[in-house]
Amino acid sequence: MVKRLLAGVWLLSAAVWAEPPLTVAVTASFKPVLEALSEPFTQASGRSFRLVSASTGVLSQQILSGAPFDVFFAADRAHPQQLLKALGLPDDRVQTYALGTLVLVTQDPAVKSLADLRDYTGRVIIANPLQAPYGAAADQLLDQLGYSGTRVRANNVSQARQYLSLNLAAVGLTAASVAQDLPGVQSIDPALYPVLEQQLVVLRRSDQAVALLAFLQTAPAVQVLRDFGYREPAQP
Amino acid sequence: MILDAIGLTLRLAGTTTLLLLIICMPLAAWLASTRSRAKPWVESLVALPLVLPPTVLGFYLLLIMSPNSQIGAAWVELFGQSLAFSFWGLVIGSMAYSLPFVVQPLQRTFEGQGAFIAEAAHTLGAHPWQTFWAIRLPLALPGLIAASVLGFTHTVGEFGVVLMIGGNIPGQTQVLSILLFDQVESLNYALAHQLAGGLVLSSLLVLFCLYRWNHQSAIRIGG
Repeated sequence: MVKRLLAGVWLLSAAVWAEPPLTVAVTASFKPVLEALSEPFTQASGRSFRLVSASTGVLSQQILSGAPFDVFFAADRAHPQQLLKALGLPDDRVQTYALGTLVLVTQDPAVKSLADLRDYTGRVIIANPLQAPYGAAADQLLDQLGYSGTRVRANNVSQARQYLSLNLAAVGLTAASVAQDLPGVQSIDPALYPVLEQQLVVLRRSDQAVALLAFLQTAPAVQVLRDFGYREPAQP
Repeated sequence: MILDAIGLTLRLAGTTTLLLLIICMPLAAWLASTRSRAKPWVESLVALPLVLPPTVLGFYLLLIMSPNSQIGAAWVELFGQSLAFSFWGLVIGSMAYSLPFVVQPLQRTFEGQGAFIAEAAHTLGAHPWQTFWAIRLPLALPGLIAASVLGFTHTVGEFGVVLMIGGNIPGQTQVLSILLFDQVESLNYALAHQLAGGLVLSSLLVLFCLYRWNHQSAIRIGG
C-alpha cells in the first residue's frame, strides 16, 4: 500500500517536471482553426498545446479572475486591449492574428444578393451586436442597406449558424468561419463593413508561446486560416 | 427598452400561467384520485422539467420548431410564420418549463381533500363536473393561488430556454432575464443593476405575499 502510494507520488512529480503543454484560450469561432493546426504544430515543433474554448467575453472574465492561460485568441480588438490595461502588460503582448469575414447566407429566392435586403420583409438572423463583433458589423451593414425587417439576434455566430442550418429563418449574416458547410453562402465585399480585426494576447511569455506565434506566420498555417474563411493581417 | 421587456415578460408569464391552469386542473384532479398504473409514468413526465437542464428542452424545441420537422412545417402552413423567435414559441417553451410548478401544488391540494367530499356530493346526486366546479375547486383555492404564483414567477425567472429559442428580438422575445444577460455581457453594469435589483425585489415581494397569505389561511383553518 505504502509502496503504491509512493509510486503514485513519484509518477505525479514526474508529470510535474515534464514541460507542461501550452494552455491556449480561444474564442469559440476560432477554435476549429487551432484544432486543425494542433497536429501540424506538434509535428513541426515537437511541442503541443491544449485548448480552452468559450466566448471572448467569458474568457476575458476568467482571465481577469486569474485563469491560468498562456495565450488568449479573442474575436475582437476591444477585449485584448482591455486585458492589456487591466493586467498591466506591455503593448507588444498584443497582436492581430486574423481578419474576420462576414458572409450572407440566403435560401430565400427573394434575396439573391445583398442589395435585395433593402426591400426584404422576412427575418434576418445576425449575431448579437452587443456581444459579437460580427453581429455589430452585420447590424451596421443592414442599417446601411436600409433593411427595416426584424433582426433575430442569436447569442453568437455559432448560434446564428445553428438557426440557419435548422432553417428557422432563410436569411442571415454570420462569420465565414462558421458558415462553411451551409447552403447558399455568398461572400460580401469587405469594404462594406468595418474591419473585423481579431487580436491575441500573450498572457505568459514562454518559448512555447513564441514558437506557436511563429508557427502561425508559416505558409501552411496561413493556408489553414484562409481555408476557414479568415484573411491574414497585412504584414507590418 | 426596459418597459418593453417588462411588458413582454408579464404578458408571457400571464399567458403561460393561464394556459397551464386550464390544462393542469383536470390533470391534477385526475392524478390525485386515479389508481391507474399509468400514474407514476405521468407524474414522472410532469416532474421532468424540474430535473432536466433547460438546454435539453431548448434543444428539442429548436428541432420541433424547425420547418424541417413535421410539427414546425404544419405550424408554418397554418399560421404563415415559423414558431421559432415568436411570442407563441416562447409560450409553448415556458409551458413545458413551468408545468411541474403548477401541477404539483394543485395535485397536493386535491389529494388533501380526500375522497369523502366527492362521495358525499355524489350521494346527494351531484354530477362529477358539478362536484368539481362547486365543491372541489373552491376548496382548492389556496392550492390554485400557490400554483399560479409559482408558475408565474418561475416563468419570469426563465432564461436558458428563451436564450436558445427566443432570438432576442426587442418587444417580441427579449424578456427581462435576456435583457439583463445582454447588459452584463456588454459590461453595462448600471442598467444591469437596475434590472437585477428590480427582479430580486419584485420576486421577494411576491413570494412574501404568498407565504404570508398561506400562513394566515393556515391559522384561519386551524382556528
